[in-house]
Amino acid sequence: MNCDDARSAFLSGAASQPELDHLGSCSDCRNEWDALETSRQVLEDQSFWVEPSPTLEDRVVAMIGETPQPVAPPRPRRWLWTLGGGAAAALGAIAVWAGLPSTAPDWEVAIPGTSEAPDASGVVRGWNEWNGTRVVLDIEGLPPAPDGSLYEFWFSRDELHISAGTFAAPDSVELWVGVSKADFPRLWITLEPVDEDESPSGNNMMDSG
Amino acid sequence: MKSVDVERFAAGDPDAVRQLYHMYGRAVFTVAYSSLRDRGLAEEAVQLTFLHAWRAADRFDVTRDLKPWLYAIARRAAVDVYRRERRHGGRVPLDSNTDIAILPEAFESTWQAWEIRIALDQMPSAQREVIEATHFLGLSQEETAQRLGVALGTVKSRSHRAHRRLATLLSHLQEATA
Repeated sequence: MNCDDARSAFLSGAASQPELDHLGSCSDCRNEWDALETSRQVLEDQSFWVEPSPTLEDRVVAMIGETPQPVAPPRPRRWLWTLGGGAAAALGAIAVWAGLPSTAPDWEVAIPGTSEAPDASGVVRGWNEWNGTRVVLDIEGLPPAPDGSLYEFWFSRDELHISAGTFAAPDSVELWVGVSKADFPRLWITLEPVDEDESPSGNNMMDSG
Repeated sequence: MKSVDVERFAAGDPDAVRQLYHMYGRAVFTVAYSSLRDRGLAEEAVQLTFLHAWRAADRFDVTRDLKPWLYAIARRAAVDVYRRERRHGGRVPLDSNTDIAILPEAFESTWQAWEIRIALDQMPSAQREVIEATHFLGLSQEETAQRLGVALGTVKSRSHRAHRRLATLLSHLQEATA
């Protein structure tokens, strides 16, 4: 008997006794028994046959169309690399200074503490760049993150959350995110355990609302 | 079936997004729904899967198989939604004693569901109808013949071809995971 015939009969739920006998005696088929059994269970699980909404395709296309293009991380200022080593060293301190935002921010938002951190308050200032947003957080009243955890700053729109980065000691923190506040208007800070989970926890500490 | 133009997908070309969705959208939904058992959450996981895939597409090695890459993203998106719902006391229907760090068993058996769903989507519709009638509707071959308005012999041959195709797929799966 052909192995595929016996296996297909088993999957269809209409295997005859000779076909079942083959599956039990053929070493190749016995090796595949677990996969056959699991697959038949998959096919018979009603949840396997549930269809997504007809509108889901359009929602996927729209979401990608409305989301800003992914951007590469900011590169070092190219002009520094073109300088000679001595000149670059002499300008090092200036470069460090120049790396910080020095012009007036494009926007500024208050970010109060939630019930998890009622004493916390802060201001977020943002500089809109061609490939994302540079943000500076000035925070007061938020204690350093406990061992094994970090604060994480998020830009969100509805249920879509983009991390701008993590920090342990809240004070004046500078971060970068590859999206704009116009597209992701909610700004908030969570306390995150250090683990592999990249989604925001429920520990909402500060929130612009 | 045509292969997906990953470069166009990475550029956000709506036609390329739709092409990828047509090829894998139902399979992504199957992975998500099998894990989450909630249509709204599963559809959210599908949206996140395609969004994450789009964000990562410019780093995808086009010489490699797209399926395992997209499956990994889909599974991760479902896990993220599951963990978020657990944290917020949401609507994932699970034992309240389950630790948030421990995923339910449903997450472990999604690879075969993913492969079978893709195999079904690539089958001729006449064969797929027979499979659905047998396993989803629970019809006999005689009832399937009546429902589809074809001869019993036609149903038998379509069923044999379709299940044979699945059986062949399974042997490939077994080789791939051996």
